[in-house]
Amino acid sequence: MAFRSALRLDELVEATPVRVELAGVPVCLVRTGDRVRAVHDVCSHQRWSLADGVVYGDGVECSLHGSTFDLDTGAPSSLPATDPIPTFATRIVDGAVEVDVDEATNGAPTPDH
Amino acid sequence: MTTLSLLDADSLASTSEAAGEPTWLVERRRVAARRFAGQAWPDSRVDEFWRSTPFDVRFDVERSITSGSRDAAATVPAGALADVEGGGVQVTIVDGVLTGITMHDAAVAAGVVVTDLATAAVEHTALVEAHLGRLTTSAEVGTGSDEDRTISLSDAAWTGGVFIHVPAEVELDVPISVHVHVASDGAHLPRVLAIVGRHAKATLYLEHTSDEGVAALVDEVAEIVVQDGATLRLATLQDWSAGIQHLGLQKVEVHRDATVRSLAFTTGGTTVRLRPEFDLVGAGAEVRPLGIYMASDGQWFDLQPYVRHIAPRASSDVLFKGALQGKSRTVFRGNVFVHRDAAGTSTDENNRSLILTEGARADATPFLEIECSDITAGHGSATGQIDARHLYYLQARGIDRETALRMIVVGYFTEILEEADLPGVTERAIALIEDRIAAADLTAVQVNDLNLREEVAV
Repeated sequence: MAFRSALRLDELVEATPVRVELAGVPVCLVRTGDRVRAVHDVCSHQRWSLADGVVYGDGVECSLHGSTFDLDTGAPSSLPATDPIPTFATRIVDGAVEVDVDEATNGAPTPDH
Repeated sequence: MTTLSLLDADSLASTSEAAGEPTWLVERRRVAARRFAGQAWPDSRVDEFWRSTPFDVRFDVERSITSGSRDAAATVPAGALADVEGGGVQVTIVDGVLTGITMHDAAVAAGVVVTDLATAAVEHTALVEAHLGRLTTSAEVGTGSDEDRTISLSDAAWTGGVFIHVPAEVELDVPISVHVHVASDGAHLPRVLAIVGRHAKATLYLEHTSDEGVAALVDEVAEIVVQDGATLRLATLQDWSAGIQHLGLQKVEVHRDATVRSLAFTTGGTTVRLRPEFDLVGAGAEVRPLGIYMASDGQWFDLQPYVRHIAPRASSDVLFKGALQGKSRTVFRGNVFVHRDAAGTSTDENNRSLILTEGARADATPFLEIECSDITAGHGSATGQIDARHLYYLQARGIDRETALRMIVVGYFTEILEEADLPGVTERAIALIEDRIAAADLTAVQVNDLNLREEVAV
């Protein structure tokens, strides 16, 4: 359990996903107001960066086939993805966004592709 | 020794020259090496055909090319010909070196040529120069494969090649088997060039085995030309041990009224990406690409049969069936392309996957790309579990569950094996299927009882 510094909060634009790599783990960060949520950046269907997609409400849509993953639960809303993606704990310390990628808060397995 | 990423044209060319290869071949290797240098390894974000399999995760290219076995007396397991009455022509390639050719009287009498590809480049220059690399190099009508760096690698640096020529009108009844065996770590680059002449008949097997515990990348390219009116029966039989990563391209060019029936049997290795490709360039050509795959825990198979209808009135019918267990992954990415001039094309493409246990995943994309309206085409895929009704039927007749499951899985593949009807290969394939089922945890097999419930409810 270790939080790692990712970006500064003011570097994130509202509802615009950003990819960062922390300890070798690709992470997709999404800012909503003063809150930042983090999910694994690889779609559970195929290898594709979710940060390439669009945020709708509480979900990020994969730009390849349109599965939308819930930012809180990691669950996909529609096919072709069927498995959830890992979600990660975040916190903001003095304006810096920190993410703990050591453990998925939803227990989802890391995409193996 | 340098690893694959560091190959350079000059050192390859000088190795080629030192080996006594003719100038045209040295030059071809140099051109391919330059192409290689200008390319990147496949990237699933960029290359549509690599989308399902992450190259950098599943293939390790930081290896050097093998040149001969450490163990000169490496024993090669018996192949399919062991089960063929009267035998056949046996070629063995061990660790990138052609180590033996056993001819058969029938082949010698008919004037069939089976020889080291490097020797053939000198002794059968006209044929080899005309055909080697012709099917892997980009042509005007979508037949090139050199857009992929793994193919350029073979064009530039192949070792352990074999040349096969079945002359026109020769009907060779005995199979020709090319057995690739891997006994050392590293990168293995076997290469096959086979020409089946006009109205000739031939049977060609490509067999693959490896020693336990070997970690290797096998980048294999076979170019096969089937000329007017010829008949070819082709089989790829693959029984790698764990630790093998296999990239296979079989590029078959099918000319006027020629017939090809092929079977790709995939069961071993850590990662296998197989491209059985058929270019139908002559009117009335006919191909029947068949496939069987059985994936177990940790394995990843990416099977990409590709049929290109370039000429009119040709027909193709693709059928791949697989069974998966454990945490395994299979990808079927079939492709049928119909050129705008290919009027009268008849094509069908089907994939079936049987998920035996939880955790396995089968992806299917039976793709069609059609430029011509005067054709008939079909495509489909189905992935599912064993139908509980089948199990119920067998168990109701006193057959225990495990035996019944075995019978269902073997029976599922029998349709293909019976049609392929390849002496020696059929026996070997059944043995491998039974071997995989024997190793499986049959208590974990899940069946689909939806239909059974409906029938019982009535």
